[in-house]
Amino acid sequence: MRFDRPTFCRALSGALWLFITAFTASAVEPLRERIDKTLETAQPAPLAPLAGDADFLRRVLLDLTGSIPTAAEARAFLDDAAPDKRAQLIERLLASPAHTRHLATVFDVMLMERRAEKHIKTDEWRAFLFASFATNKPLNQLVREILGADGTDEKQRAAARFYLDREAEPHLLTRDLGRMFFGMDLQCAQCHDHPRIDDYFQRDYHALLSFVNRTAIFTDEKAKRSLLSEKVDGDTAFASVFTKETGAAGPRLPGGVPLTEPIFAKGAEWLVAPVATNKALRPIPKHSRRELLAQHATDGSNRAFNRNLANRLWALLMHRGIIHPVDEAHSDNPPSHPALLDALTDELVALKFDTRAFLRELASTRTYQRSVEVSAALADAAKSAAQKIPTLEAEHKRLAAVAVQSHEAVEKLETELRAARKTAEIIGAELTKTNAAVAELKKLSDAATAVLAASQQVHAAKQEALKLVADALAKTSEAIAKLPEDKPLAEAAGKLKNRAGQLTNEVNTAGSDVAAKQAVAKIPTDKYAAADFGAKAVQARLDETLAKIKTGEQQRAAAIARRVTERQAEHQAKRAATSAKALVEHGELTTIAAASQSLVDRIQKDLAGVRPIIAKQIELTDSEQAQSIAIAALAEVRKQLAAKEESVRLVGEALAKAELARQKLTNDTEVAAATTQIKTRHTQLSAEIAGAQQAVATRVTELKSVEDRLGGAKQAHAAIAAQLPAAQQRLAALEAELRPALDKLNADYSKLDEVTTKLGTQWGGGFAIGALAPLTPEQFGWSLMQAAGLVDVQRAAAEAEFDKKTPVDPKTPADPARLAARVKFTEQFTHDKLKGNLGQFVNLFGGAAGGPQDDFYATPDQALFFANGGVVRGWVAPTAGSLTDRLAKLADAKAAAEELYLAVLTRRPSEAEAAEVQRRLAARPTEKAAVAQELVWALLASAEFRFNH
Amino acid sequence: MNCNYACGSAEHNIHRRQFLGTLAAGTGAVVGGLGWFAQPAFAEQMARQQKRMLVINMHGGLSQLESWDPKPGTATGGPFRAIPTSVPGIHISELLPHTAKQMHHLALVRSLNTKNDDHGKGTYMMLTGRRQMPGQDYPQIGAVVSRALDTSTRSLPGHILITPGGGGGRSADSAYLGPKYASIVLGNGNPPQNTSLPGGLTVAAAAQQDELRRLANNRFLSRRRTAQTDAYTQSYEGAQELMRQREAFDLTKESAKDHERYGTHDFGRHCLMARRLLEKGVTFVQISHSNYDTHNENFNFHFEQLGEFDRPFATLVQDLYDRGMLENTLVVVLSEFGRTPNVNQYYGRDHWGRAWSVCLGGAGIVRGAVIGKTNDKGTEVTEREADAGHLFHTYLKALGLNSKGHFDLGGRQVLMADPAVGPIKELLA
Repeated sequence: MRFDRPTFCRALSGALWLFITAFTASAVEPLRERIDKTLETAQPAPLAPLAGDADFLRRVLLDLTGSIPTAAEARAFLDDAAPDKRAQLIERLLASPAHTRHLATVFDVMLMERRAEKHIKTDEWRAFLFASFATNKPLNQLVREILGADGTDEKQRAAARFYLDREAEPHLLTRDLGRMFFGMDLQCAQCHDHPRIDDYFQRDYHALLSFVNRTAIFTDEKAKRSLLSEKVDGDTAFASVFTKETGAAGPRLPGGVPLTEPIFAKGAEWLVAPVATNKALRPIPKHSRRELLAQHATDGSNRAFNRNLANRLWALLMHRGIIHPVDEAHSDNPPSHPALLDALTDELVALKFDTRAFLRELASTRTYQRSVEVSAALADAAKSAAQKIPTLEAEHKRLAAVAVQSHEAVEKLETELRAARKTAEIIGAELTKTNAAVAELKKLSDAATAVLAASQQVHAAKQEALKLVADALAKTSEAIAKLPEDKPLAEAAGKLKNRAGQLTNEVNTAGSDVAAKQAVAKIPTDKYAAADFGAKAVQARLDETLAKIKTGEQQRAAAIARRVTERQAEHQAKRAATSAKALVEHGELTTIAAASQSLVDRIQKDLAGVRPIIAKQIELTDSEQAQSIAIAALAEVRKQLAAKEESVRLVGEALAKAELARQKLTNDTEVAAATTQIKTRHTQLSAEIAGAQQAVATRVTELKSVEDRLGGAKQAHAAIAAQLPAAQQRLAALEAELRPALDKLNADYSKLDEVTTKLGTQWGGGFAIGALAPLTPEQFGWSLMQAAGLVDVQRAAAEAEFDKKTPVDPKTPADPARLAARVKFTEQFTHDKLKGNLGQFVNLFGGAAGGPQDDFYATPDQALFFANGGVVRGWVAPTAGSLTDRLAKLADAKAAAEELYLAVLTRRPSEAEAAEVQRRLAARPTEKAAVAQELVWALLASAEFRFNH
Repeated sequence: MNCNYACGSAEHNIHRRQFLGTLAAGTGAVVGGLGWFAQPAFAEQMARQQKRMLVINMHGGLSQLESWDPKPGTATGGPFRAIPTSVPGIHISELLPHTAKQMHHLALVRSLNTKNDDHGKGTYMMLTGRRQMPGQDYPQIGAVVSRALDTSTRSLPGHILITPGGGGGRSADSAYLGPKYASIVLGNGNPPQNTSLPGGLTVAAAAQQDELRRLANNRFLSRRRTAQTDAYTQSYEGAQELMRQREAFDLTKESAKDHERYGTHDFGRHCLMARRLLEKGVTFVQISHSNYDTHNENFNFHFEQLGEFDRPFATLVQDLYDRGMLENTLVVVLSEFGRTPNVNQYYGRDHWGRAWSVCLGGAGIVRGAVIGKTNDKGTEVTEREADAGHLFHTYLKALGLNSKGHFDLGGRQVLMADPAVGPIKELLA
């Protein structure tokens, strides 16, 4: 492939441009197209070509069904001429029960991380996942069921395993909720803000913790089962062990806002209130925070949740997350392709979390189907890369500085916020103190005011009484004026007058009392008024500070978002620069290696020139040696002939004597017998002489031919004798030159190998090249059983059983419903029969239970298990139906080679590989099974089998 | 990648095999990554300088009062006397007369307060240097040390646990450091599993199939190589090397005299095996001595148990010193906790994490040091209180490691030790 991609500069500064294209195009283009366009435009290097059919078949089978195909399936696919056979295969696999099984396994491992079975049977949990994926339950719904489960619903009980088999331990749940559902491992932020990651805060950890810290295991004694219960109180307060700062958190999802919760009166919070005397009663709150989590996380509104699922499904097929590791989403580990991840996230939501539809898009991309091989066409790329390096480095430097600035801005805001919080704390304390003082003064003021009011009331009452008496007196006086003689009237007037006089005095006294009380009350009321004024000012200061904190928090959030973006840009620039440098390095090393190669070639060519001359010398020496050997051999056979002739002569003489004796002693049977014996022996020996003579003749001929050869050699040698000394010198010199040249060539290739590996890793990170990923323990185990023939045996048994139970209806021999049922039955049967074999692979090849399961381990004890352990040895033994057995029974070695490679490596052997198999089988014709077993084991143990490529 | 150099020439094939650190076919010579085993002088030099660690776990909870911190003549001191040691001023229990003579190679921490009286949690804390917290799992010291001191040339397992019984296999004590650093268990001192050819597989057939495996790998890896494919092919070479070195686990190769010096009981044999393995270059060995959980008859049991422990332990320390290995080998005798000063009604002592001791020595540890003090009755730490976290940092520092450093695990950065504490500086030479 030629390097005709846009220049680095465009790829780099084109981040925004890409973003725009991705979005403007999204309305019309399917996701698969957008993925390919984004990634193909973003690459600073030549893309790997699409993988061949064999690699694609093996990869897509492993990724969608968890196992390699059978030899028959491989043969059928490779021989299929349909141009859309890959798309057809993807459809077929997505519809298969094996795909359902694989998704169930993937999510089991992802969510439970091979934890030991505790409250829920592992098989039931897996069956729940299998049933969920069988109906293509939307992924967010599945998670909602898991996060909302409490174990009471018998039908959905297994969904509660996520909580129950973690013993509902709040901190364990918080860690795993963060990792698995939001892609953030907040564990290190439990006791303090994360020491190494700027975006993981202790408050985030505790906000997530607050969803589950009220939850505990409830043992239902009667039904003998574990359920979840939840309290109605218990908030999360925390203090940093580093800074001693304290805080409190309510329920808030990562990247979300604090969630509002219904408030109930004390005592009214329960649907089923706890009863102290009834431990068998499971209390149920009206408001469940786990429910809150299940709803808000999965309703499509939480970006972190959606992005995490999109990223994890991407990693399932591409073997690397766009954020990688998948649970390390933060600004120091930004997505390699932010716009792409955004597009994937949006699409997953738009697809309503349809796992299959999403995976179909991914599997159909060119990106997914790229070869694992680093493209050979690197020279042009290296050349253009060299020119770009200064620009790229400058750009990286600039963006790094920008990122540092934005980080400092966050730090500054953080410091200011901290100071503002401290200020608010101080003002808050001051306000509390002031308010307490104001309250005290108010009490005094209120008391004095009350006293004054009482006095005023007395005064008013007296005044009222006086007024009434005065009025009465006036009216009485009027009457007296008309009836001057009325005595009783006069008496009354006198009394009234008297009373009025009294009252006037009393009013005056009350008036002075009021004046006195007023004077007394003035001091506390004035003090109170002043203090209250002061308190209001403090309150205003506090309000102002709190507002500042609020603004500060908004500014900080914005600054953190800016830091995320700017760090993304920095990382992309850095990758581009690093990649360009590696390319250039590769180019340089290629040139150096090519020079070394041509030096070696030149020496070898020169050697080829000298060698014919030297060969004449060698031929002469060889012929001379051959001559002396032939002469010695001739002498040897002549000696043997002479010995034989001597024997014949001696036995002949004995025979003559015996013959004479027999003639003389005609009746002596013993002599006659002896004579016959000697005669027989004589005849034998005479015959042997013929053989010996023949041998001599042969040797003579041989000697003749050797002497002819010597003659020729001498002639040839004579012709080059003059050149010989020079040629010999030249040979020695060339050989001396060749050794270091070869060493250098090897060293150059080593370096080139290393930088090629580095490029592979970098481009793998950019999805420009297919992933070379190890099989998971489950994929490894199932693929081994598939290749070795165990699955075939069970599949045949399953099909026979199904056909017996549900015979073919002759009217509808190809009834699709029956065939689908047959496939389903066979998958379940085979799985159930063989799943027990997986345990040992998981234990040996997987990570520790309860930890990340995506790491790769290669240890000697695995290799020892594979080489010497009974399990694998049993599988490669020539037992009925095994691959070894099948190979041993094939008469044609070439057919055996093809079957072997298709069954184990999902491809046909190369000519050299087929020849190797044939050679080995031919070398030990009586041990075909043993040879087959060695071949099967060797391919199963090879890196080609161990990796997905 | 079909590079122009993948020409299939013999030279290139040899190069690739060398590069992959595999064996040159047919010759049996070791090349590449495992080469130094074939060079005695280099191997010897490496072996001398290589840092190693031995942990002796006194299972059940060794009484500090009957061992490293005796309080004779007090209400809590028990019946045993304290005896002088090879370091003037240091006295230890009379139950350890041989160990007393090795005190100048060793050091004591007498001021441990681990605030924990539970077997499981105590063991976890002492072996991981962290308090057990829900949702968190930390690797044990053996895994940490074996990972931190990993040399890619090593062929024997770096982390070995010798248990009195059990079948062997691999444990799950390496947490996020992964199976490569998990302990390989030698059940009752037997060699690791699958290290001999199974019945029915002849040496010739094994060689045949392995040659085929290498051929297949060479072909495939010329398409693309990664660190993971290298690790995979290397694991088979490691397995072969382990089979060749199976003798390392064969205690009968040690002399009759040494068997006699160490004793024929399990603990003595395990000490001798530990010496043998450390000598062969194993980075970390852990053995245990059981059982010190003396809720009843504390004094009788300690008399018996330490009587068995004392001589082989002292012999081991002396041997490590004589062989020049002690300066690079950290030896730690620990428990999950100590035992109560108070003697209960069954003449027993109970679980006690508030004031107890460990003994350690070798590598970067100051010889003859005593850190910390408890009060007269041994009921409280009165000076230089320390806990499991401080010890963990100290072990790492004594092995020349930066205990504040971190591991990079495929993009995840993980601290080696609890960042809230640090090493006991006075213990470090």
